Amino acid sequence: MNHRQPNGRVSRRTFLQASAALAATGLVQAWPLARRDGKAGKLDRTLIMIELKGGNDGLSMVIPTQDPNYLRARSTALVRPDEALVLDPTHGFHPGLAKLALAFRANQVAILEGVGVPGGVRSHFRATDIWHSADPVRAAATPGWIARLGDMAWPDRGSDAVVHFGSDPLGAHFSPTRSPLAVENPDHFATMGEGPRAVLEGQAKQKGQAKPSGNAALDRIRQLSKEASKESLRVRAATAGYRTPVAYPKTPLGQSARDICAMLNFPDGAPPRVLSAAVGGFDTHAREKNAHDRQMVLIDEALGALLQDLGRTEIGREAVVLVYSEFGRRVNENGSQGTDHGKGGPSLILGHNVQGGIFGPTPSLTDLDEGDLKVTIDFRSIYATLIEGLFDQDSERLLGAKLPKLEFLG
Amino acid sequence: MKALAALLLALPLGAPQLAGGQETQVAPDSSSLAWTPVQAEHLLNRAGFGATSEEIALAVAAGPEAVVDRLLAGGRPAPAFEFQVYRVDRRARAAANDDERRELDRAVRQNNRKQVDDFSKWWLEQMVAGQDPLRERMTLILHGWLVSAHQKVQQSDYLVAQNQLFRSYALGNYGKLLRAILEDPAMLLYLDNNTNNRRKPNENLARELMELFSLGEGQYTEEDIREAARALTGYTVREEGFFFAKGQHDPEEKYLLGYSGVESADGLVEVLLEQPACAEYVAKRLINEFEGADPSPMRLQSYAKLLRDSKYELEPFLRTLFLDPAFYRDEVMGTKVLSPIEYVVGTARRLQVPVPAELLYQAASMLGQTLLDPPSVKGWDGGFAWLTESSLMLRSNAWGAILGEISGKDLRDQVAEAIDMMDGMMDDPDAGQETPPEPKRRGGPLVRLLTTIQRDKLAVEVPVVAWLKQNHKTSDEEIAQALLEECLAIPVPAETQRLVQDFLREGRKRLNLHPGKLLTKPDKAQKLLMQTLHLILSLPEANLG
Repeated sequence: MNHRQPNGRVSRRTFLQASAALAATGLVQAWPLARRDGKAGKLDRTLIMIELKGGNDGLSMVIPTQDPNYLRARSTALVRPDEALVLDPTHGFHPGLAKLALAFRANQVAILEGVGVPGGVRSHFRATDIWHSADPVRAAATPGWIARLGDMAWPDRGSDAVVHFGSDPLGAHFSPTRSPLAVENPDHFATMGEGPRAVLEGQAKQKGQAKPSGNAALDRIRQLSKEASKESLRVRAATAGYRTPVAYPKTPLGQSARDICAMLNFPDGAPPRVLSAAVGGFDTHAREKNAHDRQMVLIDEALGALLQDLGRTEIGREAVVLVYSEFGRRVNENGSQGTDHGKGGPSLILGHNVQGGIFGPTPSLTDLDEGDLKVTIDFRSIYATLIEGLFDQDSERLLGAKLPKLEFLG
Repeated sequence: MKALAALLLALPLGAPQLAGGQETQVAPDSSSLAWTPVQAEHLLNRAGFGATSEEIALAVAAGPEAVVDRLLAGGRPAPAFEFQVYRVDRRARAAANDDERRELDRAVRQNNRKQVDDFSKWWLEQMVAGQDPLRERMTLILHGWLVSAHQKVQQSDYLVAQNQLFRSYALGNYGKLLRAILEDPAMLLYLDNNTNNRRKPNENLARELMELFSLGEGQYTEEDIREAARALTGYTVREEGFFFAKGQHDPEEKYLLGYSGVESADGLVEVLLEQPACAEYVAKRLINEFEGADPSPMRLQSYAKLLRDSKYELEPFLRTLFLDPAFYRDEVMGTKVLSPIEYVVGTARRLQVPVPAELLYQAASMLGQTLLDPPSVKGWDGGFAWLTESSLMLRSNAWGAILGEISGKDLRDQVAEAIDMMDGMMDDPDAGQETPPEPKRRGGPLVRLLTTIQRDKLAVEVPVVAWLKQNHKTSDEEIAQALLEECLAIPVPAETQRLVQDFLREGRKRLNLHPGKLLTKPDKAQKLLMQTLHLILSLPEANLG
């Protein structure tokens, strides 16, 4: 008998059996229908964050096809406007973004122009800290915005509510009391060997908090070790056992995208609320053209597959993908056929239940801020929109400021 | 420029006066320093890469001053690493067709990659067995601070030369190192200064010089960066190495940080070193590297002053730090998360068996720390950034592989277990058009490590039984205690020792041996004890030092 629904989700009966099976292993706590948030018929929505590390050159991603200043500013790092994939009469995507261009036409892509930290910050680290803390003033001293969101929206859930694939989880996920579940390669996320299996797995099954050792760092690692044992089988089952017709690229980002979708679709009733991955290689100070072209193809293949896979399930169709970078790059090329750190740049919102289109004023290539595109959308406006629209929380309380919301959630 | 002009100081530029040392230097009272095996081990862990019980006993007997003297004096210097220069022959390349050209490039790339690997392994050997642990430690700190990475530089000889530069300044003068690094080919390539010219300045090196190498964020303006970038125009790299391209250098006067009269790197570095923020930033960074925590503002001030007064000499700074009772406070001791290098090198030192450098290199890499290839200009983040749920398990698996406790079969088994679990959750997992999952979906570094170990028969057998007999440890309790002390950098709480003891007792019972009789069956005991070693290296405590 087949209890699976046509859309690939398991039936409620199967799901309950599966939860019980998992709970019986003692490694995973059955989550009592956490998918429903109490509001009749409303599904919890998920945020997927993809960070482009190094400062993505927005002008080589979203091309101002009719602006003659673009040709003047970029002599070698230029993406030829006639090769751009047409989005509207004045905008085109980089030719490497074929899948995303199709998705744009299907109303699944919102392009937010001129996004950045108000006033601009050209340091990778400071800009990244600000994006992660959502605090332009105290930056690194403030806990991550996703961790703060967790305190409000899923106070009772542990690290499994936020899952990062890759070795370097986002600062946004951390606070003194919260950390994400960070998995580099799920296949090797397992306790192996007689000694560790006998002792560490037993440790993980012990209920409650261990008594403090007097060494706070040790207590923190003990907690982490316990979480690791608890989550290991669940994450491996979700990812190694994942079945999808979608062909993901074999790149690290492609594999992370697949793992993200696998966790989201894992039928144990406790999907993460936030999933993330990061990809480097955007700091194109020199000989930008080839490097950036490759980056565009790389993200297009991974994000295209992700979008396609998300479309197969209800929870996937409700998910929203945020693609962002810490800053854009200088309008004029430097002497090395590359571009230096800049200020404003585009962010992307992807999903099956978003309002596609191009948002925000098209940035001027002549009215500049120290040679950079002006920041016309405060990055926190994106967060405010997500905090309210996706998680039903008070964005002013979370961000400590009232930010105008954007229209990308439809 | 107008705003700055008003600020211009009448200092004789090009030779700024460094503050004189009238006030007393920081002189922490080392007579109040308790000196037991715990403090001795702490110093040897932090100034070097971990210590065996014999080394600790010697250090306790010698006393702190003598130990610090010896660390600073160093031992026999490391034998020089002989390196080759691999470049594409321009003439041959120009004459070649496309296929030949690709082949030429590939060969050079491979040779450079191999030399970087070989050098990294050589360096790990120095860390494990060299006679100059503090120099190795400082070299590693400088490498993670004044970062260059092979991935970008692609010339292995430049990276080896840069490492030698770090070695020579490791206990020398930071100011001089800062000046020297501006003519270091690896650095100039890594931060794109080879294309910084007067017509189109590239700010990358200038920015990181201020933000990461000298002043710290927020201590300069964007204008200062532009001026500094101009001062560094023309500092470039030719085949042979550093080259000052006069025609590309902007000779006009630069104005920055309140100074006029800066022309090139000499003046730039002097102005940077003169900034109070510089001594503070460098002192804070160094203290944090060794203590794993930021110093109190007052303590930072006195160490910044020490640095200024000594004109950025590192030796007096380190001597003071290592004899400072605050270096041994509870907040610092046993609370620093070990980096992968510290974890693999420290463990290899404590186990006192030769571990092939190839395995240490692969293991550290797999755990996120590839020598000569830091992930970004910021280096490695350090601290708890090293630990995630999965990296914690990977650490255990790395030593499991090296000790021969984990095989490729274990890996396949657990992937199969995961797939079974998922299938068990569905009535008909193969319904629809979906592709069934392939077992052993991914390779990755753990698979590579296991393959190397199996292929070259490199699994490391530690002679635990012999060692225990020699040291007259026989009961479960004695064995657990001795192995924990020997293998870990920090003392463990009683409940942890009980866990290990229980594991030994259960294992001994399975072997039908009475209490105290485990070592009478050496072969079976050895197997159980290797499992115990793997367990100990997988404990939460194994990640601290």
